[in-house]
Amino acid sequence: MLEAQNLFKSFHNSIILNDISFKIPAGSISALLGPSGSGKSTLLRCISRLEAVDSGKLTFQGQPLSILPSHAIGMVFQGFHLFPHMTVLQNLVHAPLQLKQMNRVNAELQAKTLLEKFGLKSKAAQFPGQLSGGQKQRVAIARALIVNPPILLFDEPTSALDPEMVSDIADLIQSLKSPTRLIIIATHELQVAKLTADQILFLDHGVLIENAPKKDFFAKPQSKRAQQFLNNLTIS
Amino acid sequence: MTLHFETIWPSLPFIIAGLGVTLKFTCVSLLGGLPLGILLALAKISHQAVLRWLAQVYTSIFRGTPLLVQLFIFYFATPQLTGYAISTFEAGVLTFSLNSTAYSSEIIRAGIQAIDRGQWDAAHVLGLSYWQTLKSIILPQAVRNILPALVNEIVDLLKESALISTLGEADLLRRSQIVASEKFLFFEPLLIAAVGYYSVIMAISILAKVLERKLKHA
Repeated sequence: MLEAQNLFKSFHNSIILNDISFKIPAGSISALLGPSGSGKSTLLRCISRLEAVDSGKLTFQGQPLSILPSHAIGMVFQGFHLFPHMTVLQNLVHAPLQLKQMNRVNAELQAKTLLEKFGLKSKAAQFPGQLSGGQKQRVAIARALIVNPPILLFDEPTSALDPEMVSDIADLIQSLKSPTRLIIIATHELQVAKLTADQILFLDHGVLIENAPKKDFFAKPQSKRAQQFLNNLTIS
Repeated sequence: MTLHFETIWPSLPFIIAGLGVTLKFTCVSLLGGLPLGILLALAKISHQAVLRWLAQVYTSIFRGTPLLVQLFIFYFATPQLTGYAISTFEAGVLTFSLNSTAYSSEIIRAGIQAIDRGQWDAAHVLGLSYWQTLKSIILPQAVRNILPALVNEIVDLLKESALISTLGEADLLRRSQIVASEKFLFFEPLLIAAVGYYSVIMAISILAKVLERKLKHA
């Protein structure tokens, strides 16, 4: 269970996260939904420990996130951020080897298994620059998964890709669901949330406006702001 | 105009031997200047305002005064200030290293800052420390981008090492001057020195191009 209690975060006197609290159970997929600037990426960065909250508590299984080992949280970035000077295989095994989380034999075996699962077996020796957008994303997912983190975060997984690939990405994310893993996706893409999430957390201007099961959220959003957001996207 | 290369010919090995001295000054200064340049570049992008300020002052002083003045201060003023009789080699290497540090730090700083912030983020989320990220993620990418500028700096260092001849060190230039004054012929020995410098610089440029191409394909 990932729990956030009264999170506040501001940059240059502008409040980005305003008293955010929620609980996300293990084994679930949650979507942070909201318009641009709603604070969903910042919230994801706080969970990934790239940003520190100004106040409030973030805990996982009762432990503060700050004391969890690095392999507890995996993140797939919007721009993938693969290391361009390393091959696909090196991208996957570099950190686990540097941090002595795995020995080389295990790391490479695990990396090759993941690459095979994602249809990238033949790309192991290639560099990120030689891959398509979709392939880069699958490498980024494999890199995050190699240490089998119990928390997996996706920042706008569809925004850098062809719109036709949305359902492929959704299927891929669904396939990563496991009872021991908790997945959070920050997105402004309704389709991704609809296809993957169990729970929707709707944010606007740094405030968590709704936290509801997917079915309820899409069928009958409680807040006017969420209704408006859904209407706007449905119309467009 | 008459040229007397035949008179200079016997002195050719003596002049060319100076290339060893020139290269020794260049290589040792480079070994000092590049690592210090990396450290100074890190100070320039540090979160500590004091470090950033100190790094800027350092660069400003070494860029804002002639190299020859710096060399003379290190050579002539060190004994006066510290009582230590500094050798020409020590003074030369110290001056060239510290001067090169200022210039290379600017190149390296720009190279590091040109790397997408997302690379730092990705490495951080994977658990890599600041130094691990710098060493294995940021610097290899930065070096690829700044290689031409770094090669320019090495070439500058090699050419500037000729200033050591003003302290009597028998480098390529100094040896050609010695031969010139012995034989009362100036163009020929100086031309040999110039060709010596040019050949080494061309070799460095070709090597850099090959390296650049290799890195590009990697």
